[in-house]
Amino acid sequence: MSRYSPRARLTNTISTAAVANWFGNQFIAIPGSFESIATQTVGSSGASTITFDNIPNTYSHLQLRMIARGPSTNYVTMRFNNDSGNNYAGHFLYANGSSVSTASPATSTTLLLPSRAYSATANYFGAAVTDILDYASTNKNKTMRSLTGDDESPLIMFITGLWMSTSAVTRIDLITQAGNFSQYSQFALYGIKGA
Amino acid sequence: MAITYEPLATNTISTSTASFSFNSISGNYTDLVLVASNVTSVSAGSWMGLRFNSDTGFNYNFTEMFGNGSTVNTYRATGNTLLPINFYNGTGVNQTGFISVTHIMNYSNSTTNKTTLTRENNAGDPNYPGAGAICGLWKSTSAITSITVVASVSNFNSGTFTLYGIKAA
Repeated sequence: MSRYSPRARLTNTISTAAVANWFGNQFIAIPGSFESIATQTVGSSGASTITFDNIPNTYSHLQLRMIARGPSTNYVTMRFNNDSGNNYAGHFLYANGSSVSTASPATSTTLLLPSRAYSATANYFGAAVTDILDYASTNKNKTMRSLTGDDESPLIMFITGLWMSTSAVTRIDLITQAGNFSQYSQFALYGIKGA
Repeated sequence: MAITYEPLATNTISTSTASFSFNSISGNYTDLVLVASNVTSVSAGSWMGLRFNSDTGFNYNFTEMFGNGSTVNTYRATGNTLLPINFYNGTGVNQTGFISVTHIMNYSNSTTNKTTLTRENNAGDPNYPGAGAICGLWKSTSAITSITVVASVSNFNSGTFTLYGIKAA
């Protein structure tokens, strides 16, 4: 069955305004359960590191949402609490349209993570949605998972990561492997509250 | 406290439907999330695709990986007229339909091409069970103001589709 020649016949049109207007009082979303903590957008001069510091411990989990672009063959790496020790590990499952692969790099000084950010072609940005679970706990090592992808040099990837520390996460640095994040790269950190 | 993760609209399909749209999407959010659950088609072999701003041109790329418990496959296409957000819809056997969650990143900016990330799965379908992920691209720097959800071949038989907006600080 071809995925390249679908039929399309518009039958129903729904205005978000109309539905949301009716739906407005029917929400079960709890205000404040998914909160924006901070957002950083790279300006025209670029940036080699994005830092979220003084992260409050009032949430259960964190979510980092990003689009990023940078020099060729460039990955985004992550570091917690400015820990540059050999305390990070991870597993990857990824595919590029030709082959599927898996990898488990040796422990490293940063968590190779959430996204690839190539800049061969303007306006092409890698993207990632990354969850950092129980980040404020002082009883467990920190686990993260990420869904990331990039169309410029095609990639879809699942990542799990581990920071071998029981410290609460209070700072996150996102670092390019080389060069700078390009203008319009954006990093948004959210907190998710438990009941 | 303002809602940061806000449901914008929901469409529940109860009759045979070829496509439907979310229109007049506010530009006040940073990302959109489309959650599709219990999606089935009249017959097997159909999948869900997205179109943005009614763009029917060859402007959609995607890269997918999908495993079914026996094999894992990967697919890549450029210049599509639809952006897939699942492998194949179920037909309702075992009372299961496809589930997918699609993140549409930075949809309201007018600077970058639009990237999507999808998680997809249907554990109970006898024809197309499995789990996977898709990275998609709409080759346009236009802000997204409408999303059309299309059944690729066979009409939707069922499904609930909810569009959420996520607001950054």
